[in-house]
Amino acid sequence: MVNQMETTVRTPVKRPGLRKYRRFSGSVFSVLTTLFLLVLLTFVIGRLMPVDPVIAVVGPDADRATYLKVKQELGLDLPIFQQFWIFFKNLLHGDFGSTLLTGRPVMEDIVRVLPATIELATVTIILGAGIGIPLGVYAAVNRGRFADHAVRLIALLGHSTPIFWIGMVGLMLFYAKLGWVGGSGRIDLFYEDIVPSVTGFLLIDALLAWDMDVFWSAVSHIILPASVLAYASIAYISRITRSFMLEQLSQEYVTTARAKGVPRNGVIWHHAFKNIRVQLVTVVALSYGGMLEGAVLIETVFGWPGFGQYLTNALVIGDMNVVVACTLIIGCVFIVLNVISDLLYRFFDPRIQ
Amino acid sequence: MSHVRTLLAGTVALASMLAINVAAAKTPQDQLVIGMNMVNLTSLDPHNVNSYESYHVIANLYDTLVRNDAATPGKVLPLLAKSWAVTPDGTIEFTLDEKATFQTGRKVTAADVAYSFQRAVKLGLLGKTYFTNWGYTPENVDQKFRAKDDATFVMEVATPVAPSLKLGALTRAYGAIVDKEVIAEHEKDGDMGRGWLASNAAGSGAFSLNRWNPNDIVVLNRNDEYWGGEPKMKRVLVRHLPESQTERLQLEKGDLDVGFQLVSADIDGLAKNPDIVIDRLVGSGFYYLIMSTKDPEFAKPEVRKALRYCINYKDINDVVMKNYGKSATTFVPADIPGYIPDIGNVYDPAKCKQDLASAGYGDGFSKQLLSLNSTPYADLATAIQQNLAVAGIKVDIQTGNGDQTYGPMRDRKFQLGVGRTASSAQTDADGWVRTHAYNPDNKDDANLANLQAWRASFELPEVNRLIDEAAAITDNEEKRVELYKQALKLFEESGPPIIPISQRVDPYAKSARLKNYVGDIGWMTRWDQVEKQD
Repeated sequence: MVNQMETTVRTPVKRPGLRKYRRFSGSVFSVLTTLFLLVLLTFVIGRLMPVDPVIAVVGPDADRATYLKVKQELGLDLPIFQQFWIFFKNLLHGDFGSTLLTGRPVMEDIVRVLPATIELATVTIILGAGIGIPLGVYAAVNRGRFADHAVRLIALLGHSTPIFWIGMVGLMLFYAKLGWVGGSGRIDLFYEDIVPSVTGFLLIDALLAWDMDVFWSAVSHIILPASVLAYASIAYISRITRSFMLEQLSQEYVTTARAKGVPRNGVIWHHAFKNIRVQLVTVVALSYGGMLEGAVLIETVFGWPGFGQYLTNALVIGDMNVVVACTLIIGCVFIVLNVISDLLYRFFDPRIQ
Repeated sequence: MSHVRTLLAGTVALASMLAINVAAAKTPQDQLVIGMNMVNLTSLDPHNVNSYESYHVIANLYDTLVRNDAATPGKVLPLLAKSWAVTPDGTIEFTLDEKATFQTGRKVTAADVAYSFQRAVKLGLLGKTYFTNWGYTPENVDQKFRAKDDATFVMEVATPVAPSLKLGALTRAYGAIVDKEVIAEHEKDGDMGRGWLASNAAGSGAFSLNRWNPNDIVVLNRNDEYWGGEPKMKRVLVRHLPESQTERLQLEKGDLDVGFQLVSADIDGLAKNPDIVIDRLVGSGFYYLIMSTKDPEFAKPEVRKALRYCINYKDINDVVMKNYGKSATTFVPADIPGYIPDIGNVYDPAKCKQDLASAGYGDGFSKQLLSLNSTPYADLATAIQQNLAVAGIKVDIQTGNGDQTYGPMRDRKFQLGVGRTASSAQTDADGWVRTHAYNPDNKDDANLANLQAWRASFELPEVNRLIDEAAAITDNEEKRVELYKQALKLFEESGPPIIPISQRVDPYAKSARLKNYVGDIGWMTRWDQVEKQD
């Protein structure tokens, strides 16, 4: 009897743990399946694309013997499934292979280009969310007035103007004419190699070495591309924030708060805004994730040695080791961002806990 | 509102700090800063490169036995070899400069030279092309390239080839001498350092490699102990700038000293700036129109001849090819021995129509024209399309990337194409005549894709014989040039399926502050003597 009692008492305690474990392992399984399918699909599409990576290596004028030799060296003469199997086995050992053109390990290149993109995306999202959210709130609060129309016009322009063009005009105005910001690249060239690369993030490395000349040079170079990218992101974030806020401001609890005499700012920020934070986290996280994929056009205009250019160049020549590695990283970035969003949900919304 | 004010104040403070910082930016006196699109800089192995961009970097990391004389095309000057002698059978004996040392401090020896050339052939990569044209094979290079003693390198003959041809070709990247001992330290599974040398350097050049990040940056440091005298610049920085407009802005701001691959509009804009000088390197190769003689219409010489009258060469060169090419009428440029004036291209649309009508094509015909989708190829294709339309020839332009355009040409499955050739020896008639007119085996499986006549399925046995005979002459320069002239004349009279439009020109912009920046016609521009003046 006692044993039976203990069993009945213990079971409810054990179940949530088991459920959590099952949920966790289910999530891990679905993530791994997604990543596997991502690798398989990218690899197969890459091999079926009408791009010949051998030509990229040997050049258009190479003779037949050289062409065949390089094709064999790259393993491209094997059946596609065998090629995939070799690739996948190496991948499981953490080996992404080498780039076709330079023969360097793909990982080495990614470690170099990814911090440039993360740095740019981070500054961009700070500007984008920092300006876009208050603008959206301001537009919602002043619905139908001049300020609302102005914000919506800014958002419309941000969405409809080609980012490449804004970048070019920005460079001409702020770099060439006014001289307020630096030109292309992450830093003035002659500051290259002055500070040791510790994190790969130039702003942080310059601060760690406490070299303010290098730091300000890096700031002057990042500010324009980040602002141009942020403009597009402000357009998106402010529009979404406005619509979320409008929905909240029409709720009864807002009317109640106003009736109770809560000050205007208090109603807006402490009542209405508090309730849209969770949705905004998703919007900002997705926006950030999109930027981590690399903004190819902006990277091209500003000579920014980032992930987007790296991936695009690889796609053009059919360097599938690089393409698959980059696709996997993008996949992982979104998974990590999802996890962070989940954690932030819990932080902002006690009900989820 | 106080937050807004704080934010505004912060922004203004940041902007003014940036402005102060940026105002101070200008390339330093002792650093050379170059901008280029690095997409084609794919390796630093001198035996595995073939692009304009890579040659510029290789020329400063490595030395060759001889180098081009900028003042006299076709003449070579000593570099690692202080002198050379040619024996009657065509063997060349090079005597090395005793001062020459590698960047490790070790003397450059004849064994290093032999190893370098053997490596180029044995590895079978891009660098082998010229050596194999001269009859060198992986099997015979150990005997044919040998060190007589530490200071004497002997290049024996494999098949008869004019020594002047070899000397001209040895100025290029694949003639670079590598340090065999450094390579031995990094060799893996007998790869002759192929893996390591792709992104490292082991030469005797004026600059050492600090780092190369593909599609980002190349940093070269001065080789303080350079045997040819200390270079003036402490560092050379080459940055990847894929966007021409950005490059132009940086040149105008003084943040760049030299800019390559600028588009025509930017070259024209920069030419008006007194602080910028535009140089034009007249290079090796032609922009051309090619016809496949497998096509029933183009198989007829009278159609090919008529077509040549349809193209308005002057307008194309003045407008479309401005800044990219120099007008040319035949396959040997005017400054090369072997040039024949008053031969080749003539624009006469009335004669074009009349000849086509006589050939039975009064109503014209329709053809597909392949072209790269980039400048100036696509514009050149459009101009040709308009010219041919006058004669009733309807052209459908098919643009694509390198593989989509050159692929069918290499496989001899096309009708019309525009492209650009590269001469195998830009200062000698051989390179020009051979590239366009030579086709020793017209079978599909011969795979002679780097010969334009083969691509066009066009064979003239007498022209082949004359080129072979000329190339084998080692002791009579006059006779050799005369034979190339005969070959060129025969080729031109046959109604060739390849029409030269413009000789390739590579323009680049440089700061007026630069002194002694002299572009090399073989792209092996050296930066060791470059200085800046203010």
